[in-house]
Order: sequence, then C-alpha cells, then structure tokens
Amino acid sequence: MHATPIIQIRGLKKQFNPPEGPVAVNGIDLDIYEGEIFSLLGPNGAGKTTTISMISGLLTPTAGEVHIAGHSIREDPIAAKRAIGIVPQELALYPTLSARQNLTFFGKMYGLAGKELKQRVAEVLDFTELNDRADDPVQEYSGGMKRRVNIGVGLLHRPQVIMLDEPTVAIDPQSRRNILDAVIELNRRGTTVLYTTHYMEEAQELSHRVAIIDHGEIIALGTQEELTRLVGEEDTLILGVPDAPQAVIDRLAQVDGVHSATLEDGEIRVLAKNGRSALVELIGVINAAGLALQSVEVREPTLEAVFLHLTGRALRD
Amino acid sequence: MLAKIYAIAWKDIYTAFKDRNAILLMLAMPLILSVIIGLVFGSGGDVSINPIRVGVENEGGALGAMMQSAFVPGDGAANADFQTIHDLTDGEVVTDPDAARQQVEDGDLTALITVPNLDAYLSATPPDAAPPPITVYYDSGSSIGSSVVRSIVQSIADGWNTVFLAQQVGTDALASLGEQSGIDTQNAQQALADTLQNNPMAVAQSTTITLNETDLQGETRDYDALQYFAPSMAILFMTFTMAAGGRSILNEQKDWTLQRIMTTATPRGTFMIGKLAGTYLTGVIQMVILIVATTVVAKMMGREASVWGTHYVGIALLVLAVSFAATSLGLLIAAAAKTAEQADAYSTAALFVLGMLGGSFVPIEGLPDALSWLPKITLNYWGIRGFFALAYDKAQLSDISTHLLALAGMGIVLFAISLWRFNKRLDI
Repeated sequence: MHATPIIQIRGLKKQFNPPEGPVAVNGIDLDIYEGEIFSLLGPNGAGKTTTISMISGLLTPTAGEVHIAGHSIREDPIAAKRAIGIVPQELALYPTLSARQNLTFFGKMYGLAGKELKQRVAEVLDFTELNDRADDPVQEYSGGMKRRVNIGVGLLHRPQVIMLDEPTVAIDPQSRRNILDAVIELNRRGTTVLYTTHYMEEAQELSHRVAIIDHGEIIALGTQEELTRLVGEEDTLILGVPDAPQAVIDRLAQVDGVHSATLEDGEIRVLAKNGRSALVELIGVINAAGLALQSVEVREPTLEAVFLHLTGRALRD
Repeated sequence: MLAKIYAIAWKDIYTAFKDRNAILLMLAMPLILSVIIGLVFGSGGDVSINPIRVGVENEGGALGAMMQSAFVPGDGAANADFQTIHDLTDGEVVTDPDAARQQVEDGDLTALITVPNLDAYLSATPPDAAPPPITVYYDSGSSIGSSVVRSIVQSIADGWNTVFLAQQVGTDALASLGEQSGIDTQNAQQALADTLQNNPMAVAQSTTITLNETDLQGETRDYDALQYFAPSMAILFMTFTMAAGGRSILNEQKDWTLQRIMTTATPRGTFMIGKLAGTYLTGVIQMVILIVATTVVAKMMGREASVWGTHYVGIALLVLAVSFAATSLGLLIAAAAKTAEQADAYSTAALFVLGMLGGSFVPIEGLPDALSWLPKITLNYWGIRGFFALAYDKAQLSDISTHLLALAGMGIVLFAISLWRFNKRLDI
C-alpha cells in the first residue's frame, strides 16, 4: 500500500540563533507514504510546528533535506509547495472578509482563476458545510466554523498532501468530531494527511502510522500495534490513593508483573504486564499500608503509555 | 504574478475601506478638522505667525532706497509709511549677495530682493534700453512668506512704473497739448520733469501698497486658510493610514496569514509589492476623496478661493508623490518595530512629531538657524507647501518640481531601507 514516499525527510535540523541557540528539531528522518494518515504526536514544544514549518518551506532548515512529491523544498520550492496544503494551528484568515472572499483570495494565491476558482470555492464550501453562511464575515462565525474555513483554505488547490497542525486546539467536542470526520473523509478521497497533535486519542483514531516526537527528536515510529508493543503490551492501572507515601509506591513497583509505579497528580500509575491479574495484589499492598483506595481504572496499552514508557512523562506535561 | 499582486492589493484596499473605524480616521476626521480650522481662520487671513525675514540689496538709486525703507526699519519719515510692512517682515540690508542667496537656500531668509540703480531712467533723456528687472530670489518651499514679499515688491514696482510712465508720456502729452491749444506749456513740462526727477519717492509712495494684489498674469490671488489646512490635515491623516498599511504586514505575520501565503507558490517579492500597491492606492484614494470632499464643503461654505487650485496635473502628481513618500514611511516604521503593537506606538509618536515639524498643525516659520532644516526632512512640509503653492500662488509644475523631487526622493530612500529590513524579517 505505502510504496511511494510522497514526503521524504532526511537529517532535518533546526537550531534558532546558532551556535548557542536552542535546537528545536534535531536530525529527523521520515518517510510519509502516499495515501496514509501520518500523525506526529508529541507534547507542546516538542518540535511539531517547527517540523511542519520546515516541510512547508516557511523555515529554512539548519541542516537536512525535504522532498515533496519528488521536489526539493529548498531547490524547487514552487513545485514542492504546489503539492501541499497547509492548515496552520492559528486561524490564518481575514476576519472582516467572508468565507467565500477568504477562499477566493487564497485560491488566487494558489494560482487558481476564473471558472476553476469559482468551482473550487463552491466545492470547499460544500465540503465544509458553510454554504449557508458563506457570505457572512468570518469574525461572526463560531470557533468551529472558523476552523472549518481554515481547513477549507488548505484544500482549495486539491493538494496531494494536506498538513494539519493541531487543528482541534481550543474547540468544542462537536466541532472536533466534525474535523476528525473531515480528515478521514479527505483521506478516503485519496489525500495524504500529515497530522500533528498532542491529543493521543486523535492520533490513535486517525492514523495509519504515528511518529512520537519529543525534544525535537523522533523517539518512536510505526503503526499503533508496533508502538504499543514497545511497552510490552502492558496495561496502565490508575489507583486513586490520596497522600500515598513513596514507600508504598516502591512496594507497589515490586509486585509481580509490575513494570513501574509512579505518583502523578495524586494518583498512582502502575504499568503491569497483566493489569487485571496484578490488581488483587496491588490492592493488598495498599490495604496493608492502611491507605484508602478511592478509585481504580485499568487502561489497555495506548500511545500515552508508549510516551510514558519512553520518556517517563505524560503527554500533557 | 500580476494577478496575485492585484489580489493582495485589492484585498488590502477592500478591508481598509470596509473598516468603519478606519473610515473615521481616514476621511471623517481630516475633513471635520479642516473645516473647523478653516472656519476659525476664515478667508483672507494669514497663517504666518512669525515675521518674514527679507534681505534687500540696494545697488544704488532712489528705488533701491525706497525698497530698503519699505523692508528695513529706519529713522526717516518713510519709516512710518511702511509700518504695516515692518510689522510683517524682518528686513535687513544685504552687503554680501552670495551669502544672502545661500541663506535663502538654507531657509534662513525667505527672500532676497536685488534692486538695480534705475535713476538714469528718470532723467530727461532716459536710456533706450529697457530698465533691468528687480530680482526676487526666494525659497519655493516657503510659499507663504515669499508670496507676501513678492506681492509687496510688485506693488512698489507698480508705483514706480507709474513714475516712469509719467516721465515718458506726461511731458510729451503736455507739449502736444500746448501745440494744439497755443498755450505755452514749457514751464509746466519743466515743473513735471523736475518733480518726477527730484522727488520720485514721494510720487511712488502715493501708490497704496496692499498685501492682496494682482499677480503678473493679472489674476486676483485670494487667500483661504483651507488652502493650507485642507492639505495639511489630509496629509497628516493619510500618513496614519499608510502607517496602518505598513503595520498590516506585521499583523499578517502575527495572524499567520502571511505564513499561509508564503506556503502557496507565491514569492516573497510578490507579496511585498502587493502590500505596497494596496497601501499606496489606499492613500491615493483617501487623498482624492478628501480633495473632492473639502472642495465641495468649501463651496457649500461659500468660499470663493479654490482650496486645492486648478492645476489638476500638479495636484495629481503631488498626490502620487506624497502618497508614495507616506507609504514608504509607514513601511519603514513597521520594519523598525518588532511587533504590530510596537509599530502602533512608534507610528503615533513619529507621525505627530513629523506632522508638527512639517507644519501640519501650524505653519513653521523662522525656526532658529540650527533647526531651520528640520521641517524639510518631513514629507508633510513638502506636501503642504506644494499644494499651497498650487492653490495660493497658482504655481506651475516647474514651481513645485522641488517638492515633487523631495517627496519622490524620500519615498525611494525610505522604501529601500524598509524593503531591506523586511526582507530579513520575513525569513519567518
């Protein structure tokens, strides 16, 4: 299925204000294949937006190469840019213009004109279900509607690859659902999707493959099955034990089958090979310490667990 | 590429004129302020608040002496006759004409009047050649003061022309009258010749000197405060619009619309040219609307003088030049700032100071020597003086060529600097 890499990234690095400045992206190698949804998952500040900015030609890499549809973004930026559509995290729209005017303007920036431009604008308004409000100023739209216009702009020229940078930040659950459905629909129509997020659930739901990025480096890459295998198919048990002393947590970590036990936000997180089996013994340790167990939750292996396993931190940290 | 430039420019013009607050600042405010100031000062007033500095070079002769008395206060009886002019001007006798010309060029003197010795033309047998002209060397940038000086000199010259005419025609007419009537007019002719030759000052002074006189083409020159304040307000508020235009580049960067455009196959230069064109045309449209509006309002107020003059080519060229300089200034301010908020603060401070120096609020005349060059570094100065020269002095294109060149030069230099700065900035 994934024979042709439509985006090839080799040794991509970005250091701001070298030689002493911070390294935002540190030597990334990636192949993103035609027809897949590829997620770049990582916490805020991990280097996702910097990576997207270099792929789209907004930032000049300190080192490395990016090829899009066979064109180098450095040597042949115009051809490379024609193959991609960008949906930035920010609402990159003119608020006093209507959705139709925004789409028409950016359509012209993509080189569309005349009947073709009108047709594409109409298609995008259909796709984003904004026909009824197409001529109202964008500043009068709800947050979700603005997000839809923001996505629509990136689709105008029917790009081979659409890159969405955290498109669901700060919107209501229903709008988020609409956006995720739109991404799936776009991919169903044949568009390759590069999706960045710090929401594990979104990456899990959408992606064919996921790259986990932290401190500017890819720390894991593969399908969800491949990644969860990294944590040894361990379950995460979340035990609600207020004020648990470190000695008890250390004892929990020594229970048979338990990989680790940590205290986070007043909850004990335990990684165990077979969570449900270990649960009885874990509860026994807590009871023996005279502590009250207020809640228990068992989570199957997730990308969150993978991130925790690899970094020792939660994604939201 | 052209389609993209047009799209970017049109988007900026459309959004500028769709913004109600912007319309208030761009059109309503300058119009209202112009009218209020115009009503306060009315027509026929004088906007000059400082004495006009004049140098008089007297090459000998009665006319030179009279001109000197007119502009330079002295002890003689003539002093009282020219008190009105003395109140208005600050005259001095010039002994070094080259230095005085330099002072005019530096803006230290408003005008240098050189009066040749014309006594020979008052003799019984005047020379055949035409008398040499009186020369007024003036600063085209200081149109108000120089207009007053030229008007006074013209008035005095007109009085002397009367003397010459009487000298040349009067005695012949008396002789002819004597021949026809048989009366001996010899004594009368002699008395007339003696009076004109011996007391030319008294004869010339009998001509009333006024400040609202007829120019060389014989057209009446009317002064209206709107001729000064309509362009000054229009230019001041246009500079604010242009600063907002420059600032919009920073806003596009902040809102990520700039980055989004950069991710399309649109070169950076195309974006910058589009922004420049949009901002520039917004300024031109604003100026044109204000010119039309103030003209209509002036007519409705019953003002007789043309607020902007009738030299439409000159007006158009000045609008284009002053808008270009203002666009470049706006871009430079935006390029110097790190954020849109910083650019807002910079532009408010800079444009008020430049407006004040350039005479947008009150005409700036007679600054101390060390500061006399300051107004000339502002586009407000050259723009206001240019428009005023067209309206009040009925200047021709050659008269405002300095203004046009100064504005174009400012525009080119400021634009080049801002482009260099922005080129570094847009490496996002």
